[in-house]
Amino acid sequence: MRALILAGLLALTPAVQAEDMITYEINLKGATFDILELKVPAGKPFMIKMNNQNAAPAELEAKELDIEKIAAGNSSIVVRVKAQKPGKYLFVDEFQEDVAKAYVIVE
Amino acid sequence: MLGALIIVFREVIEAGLIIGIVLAATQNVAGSRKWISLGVLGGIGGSCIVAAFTSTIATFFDGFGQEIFNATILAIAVIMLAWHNIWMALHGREMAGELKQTGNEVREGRQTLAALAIVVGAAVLREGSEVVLFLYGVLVGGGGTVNSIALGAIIGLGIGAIMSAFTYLGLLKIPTRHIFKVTSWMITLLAAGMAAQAVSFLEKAGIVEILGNTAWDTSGLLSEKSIFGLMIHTLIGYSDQPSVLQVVAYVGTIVVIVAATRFITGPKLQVAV
Repeated sequence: MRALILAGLLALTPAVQAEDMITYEINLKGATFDILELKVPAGKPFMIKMNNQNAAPAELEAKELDIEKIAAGNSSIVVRVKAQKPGKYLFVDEFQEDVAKAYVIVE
Repeated sequence: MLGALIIVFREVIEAGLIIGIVLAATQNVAGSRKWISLGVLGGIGGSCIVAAFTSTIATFFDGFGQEIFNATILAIAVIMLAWHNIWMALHGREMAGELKQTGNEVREGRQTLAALAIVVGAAVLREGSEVVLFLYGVLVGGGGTVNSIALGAIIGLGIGAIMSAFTYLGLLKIPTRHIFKVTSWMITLLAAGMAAQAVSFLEKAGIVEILGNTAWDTSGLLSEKSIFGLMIHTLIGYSDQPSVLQVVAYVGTIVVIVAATRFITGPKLQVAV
């Protein structure tokens, strides 16, 4: 029984770690992110899930946060972000970076 | 138009620098052009396939399929580059020593060219799939800007190709007796940079978490995303915020390749030199 519990705990460990990390969800429609200022706590790694609601592919990019990931049309991606210092970090859809802009506010 | 130009240029220059180095490294090897061309064509074909399956790849490994895919491609390229350098060291010794060129060696020579074709193909594949998706998006999006974006893409491709050609021609200016050493080192650094990048993808996928602290931050000094930073990143693996593990992978790759070539070359070559 004890072995079973231990095995169960071991199996759960990665899942627990993943759940510890908060996932913030953002949507991209046209050239607009639905959250223009995404607030996250400083010093903690986190995840961003982006739902690309356009037919065209998009590339979520934040130079200072080391994010660069392509999402096909009408699909979602997740990215892990390392713990950050407080500040305002720009992220864009690189394929339309002049207009599709928003910020992660770390505080 | 400018946006399209920059996106395409950024991707072409990365793959182009690698092609330039590989071309220079194998300039005297018979059949090298053919193999490298095959690598480029294979990479372009592969780009389209990867682009078509982007959303499928993304769903693997809990949403981190792209990172795992990239890390795998880079790891394969690192092994191929290491193999090339080690084989060249061995080949060089045998050529200098006994001047024998058996059929076996010729066959192995073809294998190392195939290895480099894979490296070139992998580079084109990684950079190319992004261009394909971007251009596909423009087509899907429609509108009157298609022409100007196509123009931007073509100019970006052209500038990227010209800069790659300069890399190749610049390397050819190096005197013949030094070029083997120079290209060997460039390939070693290329491999080390790719190994560090593979580690970065594994970190982003959450596969490895040890030694994840940032070793240094020189993003204020030279951003990896600037054009010059990007070239240095491609050529010697410069990273403005590497993790400790990335630095370990970088140094480790250099040590392994240098040690393996020294071990193979042995004291014999030192006498010959």
